[in-house]
Amino acid sequence: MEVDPKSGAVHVRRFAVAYDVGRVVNPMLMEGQISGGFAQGIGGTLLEEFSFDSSGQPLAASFMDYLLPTSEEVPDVDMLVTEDAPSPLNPLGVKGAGEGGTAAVGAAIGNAVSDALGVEVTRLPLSPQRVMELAGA
Amino acid sequence: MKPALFEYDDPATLDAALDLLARYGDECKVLAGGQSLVPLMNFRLARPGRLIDINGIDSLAGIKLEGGSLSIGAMTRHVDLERSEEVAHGWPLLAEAIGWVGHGQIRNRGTVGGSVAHADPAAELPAALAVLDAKFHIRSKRGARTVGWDQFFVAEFTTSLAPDELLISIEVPPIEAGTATAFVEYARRHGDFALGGAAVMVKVARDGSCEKASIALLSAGPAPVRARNAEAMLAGKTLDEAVIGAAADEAVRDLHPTSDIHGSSEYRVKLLRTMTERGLRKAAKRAAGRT
Repeated sequence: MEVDPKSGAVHVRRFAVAYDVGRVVNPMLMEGQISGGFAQGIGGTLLEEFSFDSSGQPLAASFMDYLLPTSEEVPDVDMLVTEDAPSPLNPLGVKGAGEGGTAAVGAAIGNAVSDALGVEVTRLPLSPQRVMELAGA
Repeated sequence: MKPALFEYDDPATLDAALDLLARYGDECKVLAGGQSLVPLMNFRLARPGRLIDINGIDSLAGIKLEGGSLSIGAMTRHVDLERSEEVAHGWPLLAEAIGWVGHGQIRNRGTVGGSVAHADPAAELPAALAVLDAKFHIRSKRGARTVGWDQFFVAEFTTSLAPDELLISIEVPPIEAGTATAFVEYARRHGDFALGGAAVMVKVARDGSCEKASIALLSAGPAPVRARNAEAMLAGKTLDEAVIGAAADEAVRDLHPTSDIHGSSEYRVKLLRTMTERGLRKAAKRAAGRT
């Protein structure tokens, strides 16, 4: 990924998800879960934020202000789905695959931004203002 | 949400539209492409009692060349400006700016007149028209008048159009030879309103020095902001990194853009400095490539 310290922009160029689901029942659904989950992760990492004013009024009360990622913000995701460790807890060996792509996105991009800027990221989303502050620009 | 109740007129001629505006004035809003007004009505941030739909008035749409100037009818759709060969050739800044306006669907429907009459400080076209020193032709039952961009844009979402007046067309003067332009902006998502941006025009002499520069910033204040001091600093100078950096510093001095959840005023000033620098750099590079 790329960080532009002078605007605070973060561009994710490539992302990979490796996931062991025990046994894949429907490969297409599996990939859909991962890519959809990844999009959700991008939203939480870069865009989506509940903001409130000092009296508790929500400030992001519509999708004009609560920013969901669109196709332009979500790059292609490489997937490695493995079946090396079936679950011993059910006869099929399946594990939950929902949101599999979501969980690690914040940490992965946060650490990549840390690597780019040389400072630790401790808070999401990585809004352009926060990125610029982290960059000390 | 759905809009509050309103009356609706769709006059077929300019005279009929001006009659309605004279009769209803403050009570009504003109409906052009509806890409800003309709969402505002659906959110009930705007509750006009009457809409005057001017989509049926064919004479208001279209791009014409008039004595070297570009005349853009108020009802010209963004997409027609974006794809016009005359615009691409003579006023590439407009085509470049339009590319940043919303999404394809919005540009298919949204109009040039609607965008400028809405006067959103984050909009692309007002800033581009400010750099190009555009004039605005206005009509009402009381007569016709023409104002420069600096008298047209008054404040956030406010122009000098009186309630009975209609914007007819925008006149963009010809661009002098040896001139290069650039439009840059940054938004959090593709197609969102810009957190900051710059429209830049530089005229470069044969010896490589800058004869004249124009810089307009968007999302920098209540209306498009022309950075006059920075422009003056650039005149006669070679556009190297040090000169561009100093002009960018000057361009954002005394700016106080509004803070919101997407960026504080301090952040926006820094971003505007970056945008000015990048706009100037891009225009200078284009000018150098031409000579």
